[in-house]
Amino acid sequence: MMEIKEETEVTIIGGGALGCLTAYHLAKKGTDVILVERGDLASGAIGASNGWVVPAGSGSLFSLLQAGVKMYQELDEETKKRIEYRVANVLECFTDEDVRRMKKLWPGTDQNLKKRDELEEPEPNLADDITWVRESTLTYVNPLKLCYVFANYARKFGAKIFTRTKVTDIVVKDGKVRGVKTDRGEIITKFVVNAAGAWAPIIGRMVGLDIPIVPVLGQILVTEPTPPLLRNYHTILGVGWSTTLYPEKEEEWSQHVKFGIFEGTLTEYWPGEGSYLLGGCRFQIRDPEHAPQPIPEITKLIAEHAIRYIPKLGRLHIIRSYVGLRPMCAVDGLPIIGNVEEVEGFILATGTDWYGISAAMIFGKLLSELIRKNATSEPIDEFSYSRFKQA
Amino acid sequence: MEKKKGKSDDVIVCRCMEVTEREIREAIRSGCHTFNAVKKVTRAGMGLCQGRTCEQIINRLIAEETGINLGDLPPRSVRPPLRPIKAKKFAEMEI
Repeated sequence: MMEIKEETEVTIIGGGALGCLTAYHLAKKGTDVILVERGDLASGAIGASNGWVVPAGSGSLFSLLQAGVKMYQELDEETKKRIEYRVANVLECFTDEDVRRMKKLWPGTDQNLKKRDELEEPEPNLADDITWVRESTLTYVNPLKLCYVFANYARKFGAKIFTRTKVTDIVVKDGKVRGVKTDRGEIITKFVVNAAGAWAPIIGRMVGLDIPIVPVLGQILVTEPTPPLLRNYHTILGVGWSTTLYPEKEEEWSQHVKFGIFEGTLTEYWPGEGSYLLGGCRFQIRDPEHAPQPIPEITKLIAEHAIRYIPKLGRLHIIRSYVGLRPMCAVDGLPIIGNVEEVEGFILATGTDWYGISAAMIFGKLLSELIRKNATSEPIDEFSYSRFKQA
Repeated sequence: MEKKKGKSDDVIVCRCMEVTEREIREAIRSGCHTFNAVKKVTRAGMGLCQGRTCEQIINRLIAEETGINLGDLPPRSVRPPLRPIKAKKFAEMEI
């Protein structure tokens, strides 16, 4: 492979959603940018994502992510088509017991419920004991296409992208970023954006920073292609594995999965592939370098719960399963975004956990402003690395 | 009777997901230089056979388009299960 010998303004480490979108926003404004990814684009959390474009959290994080969702809505039609942007109908499904417990344990969460037989069209493939439902919509993109499409846009604006290129060191001199060393050569650069997701702490250690990110594993099972099993809904959500709602289940499930947190069941139809995606799990692992594989205990639980809502799913073959590591801030669960006082030119862009798609769009734009103008149109101070020192 | 030869670009390379040679070549030209990258962009290799049939063909196309040696191309990532298994079986398995 050819050797890299480059000089640029900004080097982004990580070809996930945030890396690709930041490269796009920078290159669009004419900034020289290089993106370095050690595998293929979309290999980390985004590569195992189910594609939700959602706001999350509360306060200013929620408003920012809402702005991110709006930016997707406002994309041109051609781009929307390329990234397979779509809005799908969602049906949340509950049993009488679910609703009874929700009223008691999560007051207010039983709003807008209706009886299953009030649905406009019946959904006979839902399990018989589903008696309550709630309708809503969710916005989706194809998470893989998102990365590739915006990386290509960035390339058209002049960005260079090196995949299968591993960063081995960051050159810092007099407290300033000077360059990035890789296994394929060196890049002289003024700014480094650490968008390495669950692997961001490894890059952080290269400049002496301790970034409190923990990998949170998610797992998905994919069925063989099938016509949709429900008439009007692509996504089914349920609270059937919530250990908050069903604390007595915690012991039973934790015998299988020692460190799992389950708060919902997810079954999604992907029209592009014609498959159902079954999933929904979160659990922390220690080392992102220990290549994660689907965990049999979790495979069992996911299959069990998906079939519990749509029994006919049981007849479908599972053709593939995969896991991904979401980067979660161990201190407060908020993103870690922006400059660090310790090293001039070193910028953090991680901690966007399960809401990375909406986050990537808005934080990509704000990081581009930060690098070009040293100021952002929306405040991002509360996501800065310095918050850990105050605490 | 002489069979009319179709344009090679329209040949289906991934039979499971019905992805044509043209789509594969376009993905390679847009920067996908591994089987996994081509898969992410085109869905080739995501179907029932999980790339067992098309991996070699796609790798040859990558080598042809980019000049990378076939031997230097990384293998596709293998995702369990190794063969399709009914969801019900997973739900019922003893752990």
